[in-house]
Amino acid sequence: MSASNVSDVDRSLYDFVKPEEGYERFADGLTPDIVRAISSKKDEPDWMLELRLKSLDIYQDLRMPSNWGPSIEGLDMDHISTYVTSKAKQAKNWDEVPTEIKDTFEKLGIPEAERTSLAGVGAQYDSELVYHNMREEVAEQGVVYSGIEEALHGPYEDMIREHFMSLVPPTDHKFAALHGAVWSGGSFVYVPEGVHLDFPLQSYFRLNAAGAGQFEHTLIIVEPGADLHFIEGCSAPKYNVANLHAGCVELFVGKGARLRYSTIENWSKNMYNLNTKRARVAEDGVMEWVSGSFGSHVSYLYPTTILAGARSSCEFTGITFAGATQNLDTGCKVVLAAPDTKASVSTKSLSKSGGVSTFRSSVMVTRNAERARASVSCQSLMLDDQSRSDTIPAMDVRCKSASVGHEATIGRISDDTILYLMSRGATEQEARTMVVNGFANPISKELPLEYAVEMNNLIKLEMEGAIG
Amino acid sequence: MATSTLERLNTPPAQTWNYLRINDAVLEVPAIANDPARDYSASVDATPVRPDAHAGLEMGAGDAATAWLTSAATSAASRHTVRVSSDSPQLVEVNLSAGDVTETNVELGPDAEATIVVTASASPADAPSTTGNLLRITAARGARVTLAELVALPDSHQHLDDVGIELGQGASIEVRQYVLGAGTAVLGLAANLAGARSSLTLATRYLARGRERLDLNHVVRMRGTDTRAQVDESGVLDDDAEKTLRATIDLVRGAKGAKGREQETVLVAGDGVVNKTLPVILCDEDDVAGDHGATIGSVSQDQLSYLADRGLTEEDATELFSSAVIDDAVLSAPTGAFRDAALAIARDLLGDQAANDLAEAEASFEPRGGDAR
Repeated sequence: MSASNVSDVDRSLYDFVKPEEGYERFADGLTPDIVRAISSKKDEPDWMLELRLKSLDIYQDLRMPSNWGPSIEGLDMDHISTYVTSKAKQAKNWDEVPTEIKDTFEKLGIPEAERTSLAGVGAQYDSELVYHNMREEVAEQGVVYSGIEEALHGPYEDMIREHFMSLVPPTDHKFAALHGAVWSGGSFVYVPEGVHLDFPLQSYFRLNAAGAGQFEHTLIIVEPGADLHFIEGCSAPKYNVANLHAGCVELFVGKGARLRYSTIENWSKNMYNLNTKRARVAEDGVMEWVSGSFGSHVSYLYPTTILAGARSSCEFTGITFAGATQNLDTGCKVVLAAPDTKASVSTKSLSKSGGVSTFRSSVMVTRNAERARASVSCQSLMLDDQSRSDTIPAMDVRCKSASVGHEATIGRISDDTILYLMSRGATEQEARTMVVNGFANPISKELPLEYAVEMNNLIKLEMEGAIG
Repeated sequence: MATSTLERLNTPPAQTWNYLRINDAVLEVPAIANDPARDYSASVDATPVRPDAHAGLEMGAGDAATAWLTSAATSAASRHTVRVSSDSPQLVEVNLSAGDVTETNVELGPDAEATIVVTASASPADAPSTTGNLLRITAARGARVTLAELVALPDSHQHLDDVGIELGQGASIEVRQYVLGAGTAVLGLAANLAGARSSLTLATRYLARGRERLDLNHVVRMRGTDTRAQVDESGVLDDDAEKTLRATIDLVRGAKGAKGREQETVLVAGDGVVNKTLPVILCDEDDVAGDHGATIGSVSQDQLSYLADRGLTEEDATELFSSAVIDDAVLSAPTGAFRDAALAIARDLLGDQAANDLAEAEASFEPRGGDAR
């Protein structure tokens, strides 16, 4: 069977709903009492409750920018529940996970991936982690991979207090403040000095509840000379009401350390994805982002890298596919703030069936970033005349010896290419899917095989019905 | 002197993070800037333009700039309305000296040709002032326009430039802008390529040094089918100069076959330079091609090695780049006022000998597009 035949792709892979019977669900809206109730559920230290309440005040004061970005008018916090839980206790064995939740993650292929290619897995269902486990040999190296609430009650509390929302302060923007107020779930990863993980760790976030928000916090500390690949996946069934994802990722990459952070985002198309990710890289450290954005109704997503140490570097490789009803504003930010830092950004975006894709970036080179180098490449492909693709890169260079290059192109698949492929037996849809897969190939080759397959499946899903 | 602050100048169609402070410019201007006694030259007889000829025309520097320039250029001598027919090519010359503000409306009929030259210059002895140029151009089917602009002011002066252009079917415009000096220069240009096969080429070259501030906003709306736009900006930033460039190519739905390209090259020569760039492509049509590129940096090590082999230092190299911009302005000067203003900058920056050599070369040089003088 042809690899580009899309008719046999099972859409139910992501779009299935499990009942919420017996679940605990906080009232819609946002009040100090709700924030206190979330904190109380987790038996948090006082400083965390203070941070939550302060964040709530900031959230109430801040406004969304009115002069840029997709509209979020359809998102009404008075109709969003910020906390929903199945009441299931976090397990270390899939057999201890409630059947309907285990079935969800089985369908998503998480346990199988854990068995074959991962060093550890965290699985969050709505507001709470339901599963977290790591291979024994990895734990024996001193690696910590746990729920962040769990870590708050252990020997790492001080470390978390030092780092939590220090890279993404609640004052950063309105939804960072919201996150600070109602965060729940997420992972804490600590990789000791010099430890290299042979297999990735993965956290998967599933939002099952309609009209709910998910606010997981991921905090990763990679000590000097260590090496980690972390994979983040997410999905949700589609509802007729708005859902919200306002997670936060804070990454600390030590001297000479390397962190690769891969994401395949496939939220449902009723989701407002207002996520914030940021990394700070020390001397000679390396940060690599691989990002695939396929889902959500509206996205604001710009992973940020602060190259704080001399000779640190980052790569951002991303793809965004905006289909019908989607307005995806994605990209990245890089701050080159030390001598001999390097940044490389390569992105692809596709727009189809009325989808809107915006690539937005900023490259800032500070005065002391002697000999810093940055390059940005952005390619956009328009798949029909109903869609839209914008490219909005900003550069701010303040160092004489720095060098910044930028290039961007927007176009469509040429008729000649399609005719050529059709003359060799491909249907028009197959030909277009082949071209799109080729366009996306530089991204998919950066992913582990099974995630590259997932990404190609998503592309095929999106390409279904692209003709006529 | 009473002043007022113009805000949200040079705002591009698509904006970005406000904390970057790249979305707009602010300029403090005289509350009233009008001298009815001043003589503004125009080399053609002014003929009233149809009242609606420029209605709805998008202007590059934005509403606040347009409103201030319109109110500042209140005298008959500072407002020009020119209609150009296909009978004879026309030269429209606007010479601005210290404190001058003009409004010029040019309407080109089918197949008409016009050269529009705007020169802003002043003596260092002049009291600090703001010069202003409001320029509206509509070009009907097949019309051809050349626009040359020069801002050559001492750093105690500032300049506000607000240009709107609309091109009909097959019409074309070639724009050359030189910004060689001004304490603060804010230039906005918006072009509406409304007609099929209309085209624009825009080349902006600049020098900024000391604590000079340059703010540019280029907006090209490609609405007609098979339209073409080529936008190039390049320049040298030295000392503590600040430059912001916003360049937008907007491929509007229906503009099938349109191709737009934008390219910026910046030489950063000063330790205190701030260079901000926002090159934007907006695309609402699939059958188009758009691209942009930017190269920002100092003279590369390879280039320095090459130059060192020939006895040149990095400072020499930077001066070469700077003098190339001035040379270009002088050698392509379409009018005497334009040439003299560029030569004054050459004299100031490069010295008398270099300026005299340049003047001699210019005298034997055929300007680009023919001599309009």
